[in-house]
Amino acid sequence: MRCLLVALLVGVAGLPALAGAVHATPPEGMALVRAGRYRPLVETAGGPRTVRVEAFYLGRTAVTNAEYLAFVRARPEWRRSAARPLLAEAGYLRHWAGNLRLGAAAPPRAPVVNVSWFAARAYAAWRGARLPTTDEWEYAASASATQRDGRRDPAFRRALLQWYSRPAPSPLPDVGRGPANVWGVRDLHGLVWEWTSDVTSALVTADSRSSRDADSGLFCAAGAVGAADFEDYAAFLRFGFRSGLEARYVVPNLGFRLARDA
Amino acid sequence: MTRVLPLLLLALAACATPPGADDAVPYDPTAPLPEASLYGVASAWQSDAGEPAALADFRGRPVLVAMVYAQCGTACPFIVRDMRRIGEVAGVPGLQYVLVSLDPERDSPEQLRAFRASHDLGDEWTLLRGEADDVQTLAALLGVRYRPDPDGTIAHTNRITLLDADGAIVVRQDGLGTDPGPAADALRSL
Repeated sequence: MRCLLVALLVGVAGLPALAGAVHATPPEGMALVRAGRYRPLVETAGGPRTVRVEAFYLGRTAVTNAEYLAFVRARPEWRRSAARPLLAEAGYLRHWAGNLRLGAAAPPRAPVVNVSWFAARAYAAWRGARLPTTDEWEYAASASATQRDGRRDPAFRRALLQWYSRPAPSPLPDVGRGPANVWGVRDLHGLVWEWTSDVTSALVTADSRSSRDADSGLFCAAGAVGAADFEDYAAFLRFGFRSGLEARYVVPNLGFRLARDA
Repeated sequence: MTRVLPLLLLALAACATPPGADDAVPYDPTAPLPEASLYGVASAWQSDAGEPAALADFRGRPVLVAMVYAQCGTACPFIVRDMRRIGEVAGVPGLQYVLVSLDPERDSPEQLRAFRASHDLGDEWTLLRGEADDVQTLAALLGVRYRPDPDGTIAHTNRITLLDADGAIVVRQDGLGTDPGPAADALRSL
């Protein structure tokens, strides 16, 4: 009976299991981030203090100007002069020399910036990938070079502090120069801010329930973390930055990286 | 006086006809959409009747659109009421009302039909559900922020958006129980 059951299970699940085995090697340019838990900065109604993040693949680096150039070559509607203002505000790819020319301000290996959320999503779809969720991004970004949760590591904190206190250089440096974290992912801190897939939900304004408006949520969270705890301060900065974003905005130090389901 | 009366009548008749009404052309649904049109952004939807639907199906008529979810016990009934009030105050023919689900996993066509029945929504109302990606895209276009919470509720912006016949955003009404005057004025001026 047991054999029959096993045979049936293999029969039903055999193909997906094989496909999963093939994908155990991460797609090119991506690293496997194993499942785990992380504590979001902002608590939600009736929610647990930590959220579980399933295993996923994350780009080892941010998408570069050269990679994005290949995209706009293939998809003319996303060229600088063609992008619809509804989907990307004025200033889209403004650091490029032209529709299909990068120029001195946009080194090929530097992260592409001045791209809207719509543009980043269109690129990801073109690559058969997606943007990471905010939970996935924050979970991956909490890893140091040696630990899945490096936020108690003084050296990791110092490195963060240095970036957050330093203006972005122009042109931006190439991707991949920062140290790899424990997952093999680089530059989550230290290069550019990055779009996440659910940025529209990063902050709820005009909340449906007056008892829990966005500002009080923000201040509760801010009050709950010590000012001396820098990592939480950095997360708070990212939260604030994301909250101010609209999907058509472009920012000179805001890029993105790809993710996929594992 | 007998000479003045025809002139007066003529003047009155001129006033009664709005300027430009004579040369008003019927809406051309094949004309290129303006850049600001939401209808140019690809997305696929399913109605509460289970039929495939596209936002561009509403082209040619003004639309009031809001994003809600069927299990929403607090704000969403008020959004429906506020949409009705805008339509009543404006009193224009052909207005369409569109509700798009923020909760496509739980809001099956059956759930949406139940929502339609419980709120007594007529044929001028369309209820839509779509894939998460399309919901995110539309929310981003409308500036609706939302967050599914672990307790099963969805915190979201209470926003009603008026689209013109081309699908371009004309005006937004935020909050609950908001004065429908400005949105109704905008609707009448289309």
